[in-house]
Amino acid sequence: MKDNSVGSLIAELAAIRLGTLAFNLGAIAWIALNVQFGVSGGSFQPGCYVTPNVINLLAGPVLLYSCYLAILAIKRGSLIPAFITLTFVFAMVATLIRQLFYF
Amino acid sequence: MVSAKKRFQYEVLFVVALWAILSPLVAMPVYERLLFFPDKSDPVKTLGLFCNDPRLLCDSCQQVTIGPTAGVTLSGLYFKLNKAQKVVLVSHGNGGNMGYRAILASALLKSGCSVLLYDYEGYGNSQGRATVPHAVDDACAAFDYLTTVQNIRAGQIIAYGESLGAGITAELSRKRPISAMVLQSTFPSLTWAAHDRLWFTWLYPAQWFPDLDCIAAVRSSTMPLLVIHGTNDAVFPLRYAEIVFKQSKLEKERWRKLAIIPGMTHNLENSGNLQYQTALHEFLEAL
Repeated sequence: MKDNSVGSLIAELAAIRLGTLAFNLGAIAWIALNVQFGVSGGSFQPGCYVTPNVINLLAGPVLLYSCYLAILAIKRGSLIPAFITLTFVFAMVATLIRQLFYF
Repeated sequence: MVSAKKRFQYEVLFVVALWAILSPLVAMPVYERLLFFPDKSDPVKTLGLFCNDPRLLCDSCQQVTIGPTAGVTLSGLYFKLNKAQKVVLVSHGNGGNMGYRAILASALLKSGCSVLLYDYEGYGNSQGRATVPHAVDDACAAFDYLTTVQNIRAGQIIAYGESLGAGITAELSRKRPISAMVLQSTFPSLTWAAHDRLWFTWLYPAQWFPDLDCIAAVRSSTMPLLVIHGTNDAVFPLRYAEIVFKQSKLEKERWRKLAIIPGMTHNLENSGNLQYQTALHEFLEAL
């Protein structure tokens, strides 16, 4: 019987496709991570996730998962989209660490 | 057909090249284009477009020339109130020119202070090209103009910065003996704001960026401080103002104040905003 689990689908993906998947997922999660809701509705406000809303909280783990996919893609030999995904994750972690020093 | 290994090597080279091209050491002119939005039109004509024309609120309005410093002259507008004890030196934000700051000038005049607006290099009628170090030098030149040409004592000069101008005002406070500082719609530091706005700038050392460091300036400052921020600011979050204000070590509470203005956006759109005017007036009155 064919295994249709996410793990097996990812295991079968070629490096470039996996890198692209990681980037697409990472980009969507990055946008969601930086969405803030105020009086005038939703807005893209980078860095707002230091005081997160529900959308930011949901986007965080998705971004970390895209980081995992990006590392897999690099291991399989595709760098560029995966590297961009890693920069999103690095920016998120660096922003959160910086916040610790000022609050 | 390129082998997978060769392709990976090309990709590594591409990433390294991209990192180098986007680095501030190479791409600073590009970053400056993203930072400065000067309007070269005549500020005096723009000033007349606003209903809060500050020329109607002052005793005299002079169009002044500041400098030359380093071969560049700056233009300014000096709104004088004869009875005023204080002069507010306004460093405006990164968009337009001083002509767009009619509402701000009016609000300051209503608080009983004379006002000097000036344009950074590359803005309005000022010569030169806008860069971060130039803008800080321009603020110093405007301060020197007040003390030398207008014979105002340093103790009478209050520096007011809005948005990018808040960072420039913070740097001015480290270079010149101003008497008090007002930071409207401020940010912790230029590097901090760059990191938040352009995520990939985290990949470069902070020292590679020219910085306007409000945190360091406020930490080392002993002068009265007013931080004003609107709750509807979509450019810089309110958190920025709270971080900057938290750095202030002034002991006397009346000399440090964080005014959070409900409904106010990034730019001052209405000097009739009672809470803004009250916060400003109370602070200036207490000096």
